[in-house]
Amino acid sequence: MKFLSITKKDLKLELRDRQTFNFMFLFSLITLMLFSYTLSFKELSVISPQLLWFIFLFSAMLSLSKSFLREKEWGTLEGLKLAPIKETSILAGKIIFNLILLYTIQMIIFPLSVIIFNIHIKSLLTPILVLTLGNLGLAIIGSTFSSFTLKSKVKELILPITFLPVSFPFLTISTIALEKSFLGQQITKEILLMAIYIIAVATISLSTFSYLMED
Amino acid sequence: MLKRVNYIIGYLSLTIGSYFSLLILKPEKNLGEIYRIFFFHFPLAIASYISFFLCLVFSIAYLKKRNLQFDDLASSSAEVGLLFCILAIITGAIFSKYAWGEYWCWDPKQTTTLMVCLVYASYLALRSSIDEYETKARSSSVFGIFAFFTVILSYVSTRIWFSLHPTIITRGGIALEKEMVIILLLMLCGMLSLCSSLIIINKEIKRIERKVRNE
Repeated sequence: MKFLSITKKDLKLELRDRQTFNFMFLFSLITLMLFSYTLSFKELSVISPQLLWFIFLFSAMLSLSKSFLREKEWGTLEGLKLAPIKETSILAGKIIFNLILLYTIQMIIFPLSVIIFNIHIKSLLTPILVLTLGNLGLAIIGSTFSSFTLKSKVKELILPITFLPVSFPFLTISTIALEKSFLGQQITKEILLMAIYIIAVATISLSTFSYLMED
Repeated sequence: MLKRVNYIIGYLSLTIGSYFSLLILKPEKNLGEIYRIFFFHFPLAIASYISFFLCLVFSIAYLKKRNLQFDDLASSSAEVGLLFCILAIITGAIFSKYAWGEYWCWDPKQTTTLMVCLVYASYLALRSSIDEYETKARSSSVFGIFAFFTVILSYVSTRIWFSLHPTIITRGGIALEKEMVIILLLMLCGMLSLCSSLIIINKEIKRIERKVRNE
């Protein structure tokens, strides 16, 4: 359970200045407003699941790109590497931290978007399940790829370039799942695919992450 | 010696295959003359998928053995695969225009092949953004594993969602005439040896480049 101490450390830092959270929240709110101003009600009712995923994805990118880069900027990366924990625990800690951030944002933005986008939801349970799985997938790939920012010349610019194409199949499935869940349709197949994707990505991430942390 | 044999096989089978497929074979009943592009499209697509698979194999080999030669092979197969994939998309679009009436119909297979293209383009972008050879090799090898995972999903997605794309290999055997199959196999053989020769030449260039930079 050593990874929880990494999460705890990150949460403590976040609670101290709340910078990432504030930026993510403001960004999601601004994009939400932008979309609702520029699109008509009729268009919004059709494409709201896709727009919601876009908002969550791009706000997630704000926290993900800083996950590891912040450690380097503050000079704590060496300490993290020297600490008597495995590299996979560092990754797991970061994933859980990003997951918590994403959830907190969604807890505020999702109800707001239901009002602003005028979404009619048949049941609340399935959208929450879809969002949970979606967050998990995004947090795993994003946290793994955010370690590229440590090595790359272009720093955090490398994250969207690597993260978006690889998460594309997952995003397609989750958008379809979210759309169907709003309509109250059956989404067993989509949920299964999302779960398979998450398991596969988690396996690859955890087994290769130690290579990414080497000097 | 083996390289020369490979060149000769590639040269001969591509020349004979193109001659027969473009000039000798009779026009098809439903599609007319346009089906001839299939003799280029299919081998290009197969060769690109095989080079992406090679990229995965060499990426894993690099992570296990830590020999930069494997990294050279992985990056050259990604480059050659990307080139073949782009050509396959272009030939596919031409075929699609005459068979279905549109150059691009957002059919799942087309979309996902395009995404695979973008994933490998971002693989090359990641490589170009890291200077140090070992770090570059490690990061891109891990990304190579993720990238191939996207290729598998692109294949799975065509089986799951409705697709306009014709399934040539059905359970009962191949739905093509006998002489067509022979020419197709000849073209496939030629394309594969062209692909492997390109990968080997590219790898040699990378090795020499590294040697020149280090000295």
